[in-house]
Amino acid sequence: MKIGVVGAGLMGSGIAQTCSQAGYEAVNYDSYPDALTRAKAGVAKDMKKLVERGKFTEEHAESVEKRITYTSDIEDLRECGIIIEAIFEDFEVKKSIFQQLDAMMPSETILCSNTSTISITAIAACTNRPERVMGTHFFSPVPVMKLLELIRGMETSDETFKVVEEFGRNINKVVVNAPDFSGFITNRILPLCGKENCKMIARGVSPEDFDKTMSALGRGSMSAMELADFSGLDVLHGCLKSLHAGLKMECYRTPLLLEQMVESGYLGRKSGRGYFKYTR
Amino acid sequence: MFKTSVVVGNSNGLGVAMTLVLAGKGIDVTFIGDEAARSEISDKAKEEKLQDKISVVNGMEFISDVEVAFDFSPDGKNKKEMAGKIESCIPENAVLAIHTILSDVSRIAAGTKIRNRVIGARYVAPGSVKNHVEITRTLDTDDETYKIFRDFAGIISKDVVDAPDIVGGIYFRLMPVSANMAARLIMEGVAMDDIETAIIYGTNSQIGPLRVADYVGIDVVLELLEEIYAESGEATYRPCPLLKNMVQAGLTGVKAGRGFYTYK
Amino acid sequence: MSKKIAVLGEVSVPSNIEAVAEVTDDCQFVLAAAPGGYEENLALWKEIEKKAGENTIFMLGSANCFTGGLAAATNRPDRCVGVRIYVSPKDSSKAVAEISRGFDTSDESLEAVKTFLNEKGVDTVIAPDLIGGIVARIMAVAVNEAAELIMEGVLSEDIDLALTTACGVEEGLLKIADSYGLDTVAQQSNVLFEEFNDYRYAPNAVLEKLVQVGRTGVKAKKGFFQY
Repeated sequence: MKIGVVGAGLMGSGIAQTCSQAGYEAVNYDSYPDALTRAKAGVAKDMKKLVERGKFTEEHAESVEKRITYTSDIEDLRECGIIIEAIFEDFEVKKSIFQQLDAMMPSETILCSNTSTISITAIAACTNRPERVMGTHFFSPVPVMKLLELIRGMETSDETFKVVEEFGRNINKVVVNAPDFSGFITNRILPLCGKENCKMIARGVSPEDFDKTMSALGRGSMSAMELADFSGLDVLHGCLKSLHAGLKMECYRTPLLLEQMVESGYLGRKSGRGYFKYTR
Repeated sequence: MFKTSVVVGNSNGLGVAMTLVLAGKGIDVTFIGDEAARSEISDKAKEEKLQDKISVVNGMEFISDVEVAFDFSPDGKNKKEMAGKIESCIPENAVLAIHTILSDVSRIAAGTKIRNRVIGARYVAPGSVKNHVEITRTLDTDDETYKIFRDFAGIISKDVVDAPDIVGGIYFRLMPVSANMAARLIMEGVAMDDIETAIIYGTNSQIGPLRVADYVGIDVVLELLEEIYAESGEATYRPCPLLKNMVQAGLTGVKAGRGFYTYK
Repeated sequence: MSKKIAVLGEVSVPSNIEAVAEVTDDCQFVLAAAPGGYEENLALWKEIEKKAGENTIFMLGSANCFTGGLAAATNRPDRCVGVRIYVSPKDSSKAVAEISRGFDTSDESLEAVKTFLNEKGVDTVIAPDLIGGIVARIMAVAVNEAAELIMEGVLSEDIDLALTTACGVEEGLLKIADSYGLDTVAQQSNVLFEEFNDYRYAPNAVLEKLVQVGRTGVKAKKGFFQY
């Protein structure tokens, strides 16, 4: 079975790479040729690293790259049995793509979305095949992070679920079943912790002191504040906004300090300043 | 150089741990506590050859020669009163360091008469006493006390951080958050194993929020949530009813053999 | 052979369930609820345990207790099922039972309870093991919102007229509340507010006032409306 991936950004490219690494032929589509070029180069770079580290043989790396087709022609997705959409996190944009795919793909093709906040049921309802639509929520960087949240829409059939679950296992992901509510599982909990962490800093605790405290019982590879800066405070901000809008639960309100930092452009490592300052 | 200290604590581990650490640093310690803790300290002191540094006392008597006193008495409705009792055992100029997780420090300090020398000192676990302490200034802690205790705390623990005077301080203010939301997800029908797996793989951790809660104790998590919610009214801390149900049913975690999961 | 059920305490059962008032060891089921909460109900079930047969299934009828929490303290957590019966105010032979599982309720016990109640013409629904079940939680919030509108100056008649026409139903919410009993709504709301710490359950001042002056609904001939 060929796997189609719509969107060649970080997620889409990572998903295509992951599929290929597991032996699937992948077709990575994006309407922007520049994105395709970047994606292809990114995969090549990753393969080079893995060969250098002795994780992959040169042959394997070559075959991984060969199995991914990059295209800006959506028709090239026709042969795919499962298509995974990983584009901009906006309902209208996703609606448009799903309707396009629904119209052109054979009726058995399964359409999946990598959305982290939009209702799968809502996306499915835009198509004439809601029973063949479900959510496959990957985590970045996709080739490294083993978790895959599977989300059924209200109409997703058992058959569709089985096929996608098997696919998930075939690409060596650890699969969990999440309900179709904003945040699924992981992002119901982690952004809430991120929010409370932010509030603690707003009370005057220094980020250094905070990190020392959270590792009082032993340190992980990256401390909480470092991790937040690494992922990007805009990501936490966006997550909380979606969670609050999607669930209307008070606990997901955005704390003032986070609003202040995001508006000021202090997004973390990528902007040179977040909780900590970074010299470029 | 600090020479003397008093530690008040029951068999809650922290009192014992602190006594041994202080004695190990060459500080003379008087321990006041319940029978179980006293015998544990006596045994450990002999093991580590620290008997000379530790005197174990049965009741509250006045100890004239003390510079810093630690209050590790259990949280609860008697905690404030206990602070007053301990105060009457120590000289007026001794620092009184109070450990509490279910309360802010100021409302416990309100049980004392000489308030400027009272300060908060929160330790996460007996095993972390040497690593880390949260120190908290109350409404009345004066600069001299803060400086003296900060230096003293630095002798005991590697990291000394300043924590706000709120229920739970830093660590215990944050610890129950994931357990509470995880319990809510169970109520919404998510499988427990899926929650654990999602967090373990999503954060590259060894253990998920449900098992962490089982180890800490579901009753402890619930009490923390109730106190933090009473203090702040914040929705994040509104205790998930499943936790209440579990505590009522005795499913308090590892110590009961069963919490979210079952333990031998 | 018909199953024997003993019913004790503050429990309503429909007219077609024949129950005995004493617990004997040949009772297949005991349905009981004490006023109050966990302590009071546990005391009641401890008494019942002394007289019940080994296989008797306990139907925990209190609205103020978790099934899981209470069942764990009995000598038969697997044979405890939460059962809250609502008898129709219009037809005493019609009833619905909200059934909830404790942490250890066995499938057999659950099925036995469902089968027994269904045979007696009582509909059964599965409720989460939370205070408030289904009906109490909905009534609390719905009536509260209506009371909020009244506080803002809307007339009771207008609320019910608007709702019945807009939703195409016979009875308006305030009429329904009057039939249900405003004192029950207020009491349940208070329990829920304390239990959930959620302000949406806190009984609205308008509702509390009506109860204070005895205007508890149809049974008192006065509630939101006069009867």
